[in-house]
Amino acid sequence: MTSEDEAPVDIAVRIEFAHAALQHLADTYGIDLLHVKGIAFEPKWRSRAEGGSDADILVRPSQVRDFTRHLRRQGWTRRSSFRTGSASGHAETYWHDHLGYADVHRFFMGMGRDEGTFDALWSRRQITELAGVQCPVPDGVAQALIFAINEARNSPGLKQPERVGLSIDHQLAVQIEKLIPTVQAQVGWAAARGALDEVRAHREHDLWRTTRAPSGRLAEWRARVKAEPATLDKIVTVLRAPLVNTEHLANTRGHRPSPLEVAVEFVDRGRRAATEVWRTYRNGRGLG
Amino acid sequence: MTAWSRGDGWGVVDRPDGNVRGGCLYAAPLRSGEITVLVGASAVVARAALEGLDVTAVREAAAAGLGVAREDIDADVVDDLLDDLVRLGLLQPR
Repeated sequence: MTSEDEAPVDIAVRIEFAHAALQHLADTYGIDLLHVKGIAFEPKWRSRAEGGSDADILVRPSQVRDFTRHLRRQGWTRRSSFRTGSASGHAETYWHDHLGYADVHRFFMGMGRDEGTFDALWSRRQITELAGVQCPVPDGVAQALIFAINEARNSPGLKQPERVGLSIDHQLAVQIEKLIPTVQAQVGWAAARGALDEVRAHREHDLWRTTRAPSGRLAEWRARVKAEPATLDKIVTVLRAPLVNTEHLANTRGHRPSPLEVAVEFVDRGRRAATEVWRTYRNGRGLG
Repeated sequence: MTAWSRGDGWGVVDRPDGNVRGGCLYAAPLRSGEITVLVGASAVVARAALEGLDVTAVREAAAAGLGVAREDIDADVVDDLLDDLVRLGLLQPR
């Protein structure tokens, strides 16, 4: 009998325990959550056969704050916040010294952000056993949809329709089409099929376009503002645009940045933004 | 005859196949996440106990799992390991 310090423990084993630990916490405090992606999904709906590098969960939106409060008391340290973690603000990343990384999603990019979307997924949940613990997961149809959307988001260079088409047959596609309105996944599904033009009028269209074909920070920020459903959220997004992402800075530098490092980054960020504005202006006038 | 079940709040990941005969069994209390690794004969014994077998059946399962005669299994060693796993919290007597 040896501890993990003396014997190697595969990352896949740690991730399985991470899922189980997160579920144990949810059961203890009456939180609804679904285990998504990686080893929680059927092998055919995994991006990588071994199941990825972290444990992903989708928490009922109204319980996210409560859950993350309990999580931090349980030895998990936040590495990125909803505000700084990604363009869509859908997830926070946590680290545990024994269990590794976990991504806590408050919604899934490409799906609705509301309680109704979670309810739609929750009402058709299945159970899978991870590290001996009963863990709720989306059903097979929802797994296929989440896989397709996730592939579209993470593989901008991939010829998406072909790859998704290999896995999703006609019958399953029909079932997915029925699910889509209940989880507001029209844009994500369009992106997965390589058909973003079909949803050009949707507020999330531009954000997906910048995800599929990166076109600079300014375009991304414009898309982020447009994608926000409420005016107040749009204003907050604009106000945050020039601020330095100190969590990202800490992660890339391996230490908490000093006030001087933050100030230097702030100035450099402004310089990069100005350069991008100038290039956009120059290209727009045909000077480039 | 004593038998056991998995301790409350414990998780187990079993990898019976591998380079070592008997494989690996990983166990962790889900609150702290600290992982204990059981390899080979230890894994076989823990696996059998977690299946709810009594001590005699655990010794037989250990012999079968390790490909040796039942007489070759040292009962005291098995009992000591089971006691250790109870103290650890992974096993609880039923």
